[in-house]
Amino acid sequence: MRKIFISRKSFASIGGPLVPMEKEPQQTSDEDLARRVQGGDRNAFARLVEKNAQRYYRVAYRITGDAAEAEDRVQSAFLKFWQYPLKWNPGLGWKFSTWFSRVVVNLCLDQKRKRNREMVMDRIPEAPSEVATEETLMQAERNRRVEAGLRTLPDRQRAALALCFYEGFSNAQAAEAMGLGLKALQSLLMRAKASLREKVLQMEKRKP
Amino acid sequence: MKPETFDECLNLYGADLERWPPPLRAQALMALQDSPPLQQRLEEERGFEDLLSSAQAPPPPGDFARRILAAAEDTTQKGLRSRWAELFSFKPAFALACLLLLGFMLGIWAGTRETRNAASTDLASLYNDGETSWINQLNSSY
Repeated sequence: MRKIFISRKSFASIGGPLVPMEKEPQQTSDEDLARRVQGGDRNAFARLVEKNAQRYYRVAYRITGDAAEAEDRVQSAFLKFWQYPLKWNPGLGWKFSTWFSRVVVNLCLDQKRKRNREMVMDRIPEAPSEVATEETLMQAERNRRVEAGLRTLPDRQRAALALCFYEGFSNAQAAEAMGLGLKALQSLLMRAKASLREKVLQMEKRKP
Repeated sequence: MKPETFDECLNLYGADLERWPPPLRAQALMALQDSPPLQQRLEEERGFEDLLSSAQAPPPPGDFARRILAAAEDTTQKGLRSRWAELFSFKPAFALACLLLLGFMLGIWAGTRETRNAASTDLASLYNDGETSWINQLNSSY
């Protein structure tokens, strides 16, 4: 298998640690930063990571349902872009965020497929055990039910919900990020919400 | 707008009407004005979405971004090392070419050295001959 760094002559010159520059303007778009990474700008890569790591972690967490796995997948996605930055081709009309979401979603779904295991209910976070107000406990219980409902959904439905509902992607962007047609994405989304609504309501009815 | 269409749009675009495509949003707003059942459906969906929103993903560790950057740095170093290793160890053609080149260079160097040695020997013998004759002349004079 080919080793890395065959297309990145600029990275052959090591130029200090990967740290975002303090004076980097906060409003620089992801596309600008990604283009600069393609030109070998190490600081732009650091800025891109600092800016987006949390967001893609949330997406990965929603799909994998596991914090450590989500960290691994997001780290792998960023490393892939670091090693092969030219894989993002702005000429094809892809926004960087959509393309990168696709990388993250695919890594998460592939890994889950490989492991071929279902999320188990006993990993759902328990309600806090420390002394808390009634309102806090009720909120925690509601969260637990939603989490439980989310974990019973098929991976792709969960991914659709993570992108469209939790991360505010438009349906068209989410469809691109998941490599689906718009209709297929919409169908996934409708089934996800209907199924989740039903499950949460069932749990509401069963509550003591 | 029919109630079924409204319901389908709610599932597709959510309870925030601002996210609906403009033509559908305009139709929905008109339908909502005169329809308490649609208003109630919208409120139900908002309640459901509020419930979903309350279950946010836990934040990643505080040093998450730094760890990614450290891993990238590590990958860079490993990449460079492996590139050299690839060039010198794992490419049979390159290794063979290097060996051939080395052999060729050694051959040239050895050939040059031999020629130079032969010339030096000739000069030395001439010198020795001269020296011997000079010593012989000196001896005979005594």
